[in-house]
Amino acid sequence: MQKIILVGNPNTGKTTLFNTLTGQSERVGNWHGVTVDIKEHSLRNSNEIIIVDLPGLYSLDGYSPEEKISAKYIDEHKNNLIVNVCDACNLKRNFKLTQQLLDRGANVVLAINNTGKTQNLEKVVEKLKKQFSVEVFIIDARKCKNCKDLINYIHKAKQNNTKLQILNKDNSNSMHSLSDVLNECSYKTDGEKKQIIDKLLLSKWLSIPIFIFAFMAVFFITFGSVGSYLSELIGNAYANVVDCLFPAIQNNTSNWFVSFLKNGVFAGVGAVIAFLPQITLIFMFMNILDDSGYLSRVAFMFDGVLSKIGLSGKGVLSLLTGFGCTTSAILVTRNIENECVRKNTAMVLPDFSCSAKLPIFMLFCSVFFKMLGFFAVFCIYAIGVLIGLFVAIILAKFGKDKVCQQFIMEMPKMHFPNVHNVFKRTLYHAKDFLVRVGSMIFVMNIVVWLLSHFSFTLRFLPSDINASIIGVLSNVVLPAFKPLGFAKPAIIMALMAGLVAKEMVITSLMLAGGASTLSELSGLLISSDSVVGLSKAGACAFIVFVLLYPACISAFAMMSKEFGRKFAISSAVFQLSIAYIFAVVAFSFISGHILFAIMFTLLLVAIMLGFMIKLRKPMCKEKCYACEGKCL
Amino acid sequence: MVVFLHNKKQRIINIECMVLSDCKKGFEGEIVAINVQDKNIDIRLLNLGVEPHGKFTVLFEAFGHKTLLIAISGGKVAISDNICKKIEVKPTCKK
Repeated sequence: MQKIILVGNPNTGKTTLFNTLTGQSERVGNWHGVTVDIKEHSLRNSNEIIIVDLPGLYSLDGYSPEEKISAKYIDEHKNNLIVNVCDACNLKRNFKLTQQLLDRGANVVLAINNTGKTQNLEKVVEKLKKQFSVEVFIIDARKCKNCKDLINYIHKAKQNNTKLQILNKDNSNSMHSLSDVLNECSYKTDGEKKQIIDKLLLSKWLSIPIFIFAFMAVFFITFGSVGSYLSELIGNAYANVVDCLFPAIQNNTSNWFVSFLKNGVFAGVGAVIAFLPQITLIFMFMNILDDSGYLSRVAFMFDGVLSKIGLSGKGVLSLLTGFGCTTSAILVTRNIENECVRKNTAMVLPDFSCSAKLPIFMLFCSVFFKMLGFFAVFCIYAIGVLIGLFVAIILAKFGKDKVCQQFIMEMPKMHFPNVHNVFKRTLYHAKDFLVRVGSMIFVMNIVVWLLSHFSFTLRFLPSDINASIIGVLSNVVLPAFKPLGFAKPAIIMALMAGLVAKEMVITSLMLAGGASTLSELSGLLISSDSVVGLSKAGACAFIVFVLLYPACISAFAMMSKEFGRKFAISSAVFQLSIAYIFAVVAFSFISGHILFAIMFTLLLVAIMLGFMIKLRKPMCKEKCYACEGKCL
Repeated sequence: MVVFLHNKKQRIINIECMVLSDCKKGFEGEIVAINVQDKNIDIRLLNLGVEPHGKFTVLFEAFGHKTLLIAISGGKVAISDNICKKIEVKPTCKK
């Protein structure tokens, strides 16, 4: 098995090339540090060649976590063929890494990704080939142009099974030699023309209104009429298919099996699938913003503000990823160099609602806030962000070791989003959602159905959830949730199932209520007699609790992997505590118990302070060298 | 260090040297020295092309002049205020 390693500066198109070579759909984006982990896949039509995509690095002495990963991997695999992907618009800087690779005796092939306008690039290539015997390919990774030559070369290398010493030490003179080639050939890039769009997006007065307007528009289209209409279409189509199938199954089948199929299989899956359009739409818009280069501008815009509260501009990329998936967002924190800021960012991430929570908010807001549903969903997201920032402020203010940050970030070029990339990424997310529904959600739904329809003595209970296994367990913890207005075990059951995956909250409520469609569940939620019925205050507390309580099990595992189990458990306990207290406060305020709400608010502040100070102490050990501590 | 900021017509009256964090949008200059003590940051700046003798233009100032976006020959780089304070610069346009 031969490994071909893609190496290069950040945002030079390594992952795009990786996707072209392997046919994969790994995440690409127009900002620095999209790839934070090593990815491997076999070359198209060849299982014997493995393509490895490394996180971008500027030099082999890099200090951010993902740079260290790449440098270590290169050191361990320097005998493999290394494809050094360079950006044609910035060859001089890219050659620094090339030189370091050569100095370490690596086998390097240059793939110059030419996405802009350049002059005399062909001359440079000729000279490099002639003077340094280096193999150079000019490609356009985004448009898959000229990648065939590179693929043929890789195949040829495999067939010859030779060690491809492209540049030997005799002619790899020095860094200046490579740069000299650029000067000798009068190599020029057309440079970035003054972009009017940047003037607008980064203007002191317009940048924030534009940001708010852009995200409001995204929310309006996703959660407003367009998303709801598409969701209704999908829901109806699914219901029609089930209606056609069900009569055929129902005949001559036992009661428990009919209940299993109806509630355990079809209803739960259908309830989640109906939200496919909204989830697809939100990912599509995020991909458009990502591909255009806007997210990096947002990181620049908010660095000043975020650095005051212990976060960083780079954290914006992670926080915005958190709207899609908390697990991925935790991984994205790797592009933050400062360990303390990384941990702070990871701590606030669960407050940035992931897409799996979206169906819950959509359903509850449409039931309890009727026409104001869209506005209510927007407010929930905004509340989550504000609470996240509040947590960050407390971390920054009361931590014993304050954080000094040094934000240095290359700004990618702003361009019109690549339709193919956006489409491919959106399709990937939609597919990922469907696979998740068809696998984990499907299996978990069956597990919850079994636990909610059978007693400890394995007796089938068609309509007595209180006597079921999960009902008995929920009843044990139910008193603790009374102050939140949750008086029914089915609600606790849904919240417990949500710890595995947030999509399970809705399917569990459907199972408990015996609803086969979302409209049936909507009716049950507002009915005080039903097993899932909630008052308006209770529903608000439920939304707040779901918004703030710990993310799913995979996010917990990722947190453990990145920061250690102790930190992951502390973070989960902390999230659970603030979710509980904020939910009590919400319930008390809405149901008119103002004094009780104030008492709980004070308790909340006290707990947060205590927790943060205790947690913070071992978190931050780094000192500021850039400003000799003056910034603290 | 003698510092006189440029007038409205972008003409520099008399500036020998100043730090990057004092530069306003539109300022064109040359980096004289980078005085950060953290080797990692120093390397990162050099890797990005922010290096002594390099020409630059301040493109944008973020909120509260906290972070600057500068254009250098290798592209655009955003640098936070605490690092900008450690980068000595002098203007390239003269009276």
